[in-house]
Amino acid sequence: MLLLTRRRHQSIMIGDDICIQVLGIMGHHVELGITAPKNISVHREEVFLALKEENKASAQTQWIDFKRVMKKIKNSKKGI
Amino acid sequence: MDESAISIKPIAEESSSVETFNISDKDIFYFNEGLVGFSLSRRFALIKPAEAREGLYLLHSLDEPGLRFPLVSSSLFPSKYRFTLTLNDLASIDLRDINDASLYAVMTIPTHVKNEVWLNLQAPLVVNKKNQQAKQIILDGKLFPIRFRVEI
Repeated sequence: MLLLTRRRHQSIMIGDDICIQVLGIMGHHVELGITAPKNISVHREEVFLALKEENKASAQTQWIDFKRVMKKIKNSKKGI
Repeated sequence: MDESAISIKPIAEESSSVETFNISDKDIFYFNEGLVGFSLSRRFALIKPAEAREGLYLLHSLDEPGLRFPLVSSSLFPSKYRFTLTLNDLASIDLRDINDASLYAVMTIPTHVKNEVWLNLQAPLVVNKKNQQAKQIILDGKLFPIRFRVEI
């Protein structure tokens, strides 16, 4: 892992076009400004990991369970 | 238009049936970034199983055998579900007219609770019907839950 020390308003470049700037430091919180090309997705790690886990859980759906749900929803009067 | 068939392997040991779906070119969608955590799978077929009611689909990978996601279309979403697409999101699937868009949520079927399903409303799938480009959008903040519980 590369370790860098930055002060407020200093930045880090990743490649040619991703820039991460330290905007402010408040106690244990660091405020970062990120500039990146449109095709680069930027997300908080915990959000990304949670979504990855949820997609994984969905992908593990067994056909038999999907069939059960299809049947149940079809017969249900209240809908989904 | 070429029709190809996708086979879903029997899941239950005792089941010998293989589910086969016919798909045509118009059912194929391109996720240029894949789904979150599944970036290697780009091409998917959107399948409506014969026994499914309106609004239930399977998103079946054409790149990774066996990878598929149950989906629910927005017609079955809670009515208060509204969000704004960012310019980046619009650009990434070249969406110029909102009427060309369809919206889906990835559904998780919990195995330990039999009377509910979960819809991922924080990361919906937006599909551009015109060019068949699609993207799993990640909505910021805590507007909508990853697990929106729906009783069935």
